Amino acid sequence: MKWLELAIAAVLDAPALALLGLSFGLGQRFGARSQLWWSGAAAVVAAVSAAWLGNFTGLGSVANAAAVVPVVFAAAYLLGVVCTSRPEVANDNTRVATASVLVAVTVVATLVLWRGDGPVAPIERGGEWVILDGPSLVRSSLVDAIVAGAGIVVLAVLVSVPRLRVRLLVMHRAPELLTRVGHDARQITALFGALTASAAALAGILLARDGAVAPTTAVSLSVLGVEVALLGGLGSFTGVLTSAAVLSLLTSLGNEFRAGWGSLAGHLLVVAMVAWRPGAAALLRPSGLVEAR
Amino acid sequence: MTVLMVEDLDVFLGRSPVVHVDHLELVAGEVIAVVGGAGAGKTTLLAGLAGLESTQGRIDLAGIEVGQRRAHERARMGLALVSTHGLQIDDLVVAELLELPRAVGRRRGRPHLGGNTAPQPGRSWSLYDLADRLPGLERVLHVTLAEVGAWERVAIAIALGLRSGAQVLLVDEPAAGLGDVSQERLRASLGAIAFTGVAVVVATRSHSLAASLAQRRYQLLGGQLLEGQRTDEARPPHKHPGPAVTDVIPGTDVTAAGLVPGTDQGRSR
Repeated sequence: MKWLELAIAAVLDAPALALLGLSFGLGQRFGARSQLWWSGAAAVVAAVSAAWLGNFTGLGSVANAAAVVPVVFAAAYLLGVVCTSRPEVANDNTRVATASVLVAVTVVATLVLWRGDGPVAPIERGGEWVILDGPSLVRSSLVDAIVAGAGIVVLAVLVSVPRLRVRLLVMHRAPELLTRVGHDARQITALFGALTASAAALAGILLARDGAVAPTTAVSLSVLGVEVALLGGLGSFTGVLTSAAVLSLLTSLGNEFRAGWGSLAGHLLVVAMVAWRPGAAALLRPSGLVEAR
Repeated sequence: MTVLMVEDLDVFLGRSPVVHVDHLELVAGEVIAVVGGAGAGKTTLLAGLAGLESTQGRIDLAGIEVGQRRAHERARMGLALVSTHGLQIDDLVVAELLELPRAVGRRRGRPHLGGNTAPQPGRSWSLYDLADRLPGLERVLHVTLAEVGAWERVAIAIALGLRSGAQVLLVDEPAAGLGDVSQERLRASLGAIAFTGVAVVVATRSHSLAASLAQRRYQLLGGQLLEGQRTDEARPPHKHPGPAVTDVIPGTDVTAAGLVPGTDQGRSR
């Protein structure tokens, strides 16, 4: 019975993990080459925002998502437009630099706001500032899984629309061709960047379920996202869902054995994967456990 | 009617002007050739006209100044750069790629008005019209780019320009890597396209191609575009409507290929 509960918990955690992996992998496969950085930055920012919102409002994942995701979308879109508005700055280096600054600011802000082992957002109760312990009031693993699943379905539908899929592929591999046939590559880059950033934001909200966001959250979310994307194959929906389920189960089982062993088991799996298929580690081709379409 | 007029234009690579054009004028349905050796600046000139390189000077497209417009806006207005560069997305199916251009002058997803309406400059061409002027194209519609030959790749590049609703095709080195038969197809196809009223600028190293294809030849020497001789006597492949696909590929049945004249019904979905 205990193992069954573990398995169910792992399955319910998997969609959020898969969404994070997809936001990393899709960005790399279809978006600008530096999209991985954008997505990672958005995930970190979203996780922190989610912790704040979750503790201030005590609302569930749906309300948090409704509040945070549009903001992340708008911010990422504006950032994308600004970064590509002039030919001399419209390159991957600029985007990587901007994303790095975004992460750095978030990490520093988290460090400043961090209050030891609790969540980052203290709230005022009875005339004094207290730090809430534990999750928000109405969080449920099932609801979170459904929200993440909805996010994955939206991404899958968008990427499978032939017209959009072709534009994204061409944008990634030959952006000049897109311009030559009358498309504004800048708009498409910015929109797709905002879309993947929003997916990462949603994943960040769901993964910050326990409300505790520490300065190391940026690192752990980035590592987790890259691991899921690497294991699953960049841009492969089935692959990423599989790898998220495997990682989630492995983490649950490892932590059951001894605290902290869960993430170690995940890292070991990634190392084994890299040894098995080194090409996947180079982030250059969509090959993971399952070949991407 | 003048469709393209260029006055006192400098095209820059970085901050250095590398090509200068004093005056260039092109009327509807005309084919001109820009001849120059490797590194003479042919590709740079076409990229500058298309908005992919920075320029200073005046570029008018059908009487509208477009010199300050961005590349995708010029493409939408009918200034189409044709190049096989960027067609290396091997896993993309040709028919999918031909859906990439923005539909111009017709409702998205609808066939041309009037059923058998002839293709016009400034309007997206239907797949039937493309197949009619670009022999071999309809055979590769359902294969990936990895499987197409050198001529088909050139045909796809031209088709992308026409699907974008080109008034002027800026064709960059179309004969590179083509054999004699394919070059003959190229001449016939560009002539047939020009016959519909689309103006064509061909940049090439080949003097023979330029002589057999274009009414006027220009040379790029020392970064200057110099007008060469008229080649009216050698010209006119586009005095006739060009080869129908059935003429070039015996046994090809356009209806069987799923292509209905004047429509996009043969399009892959």
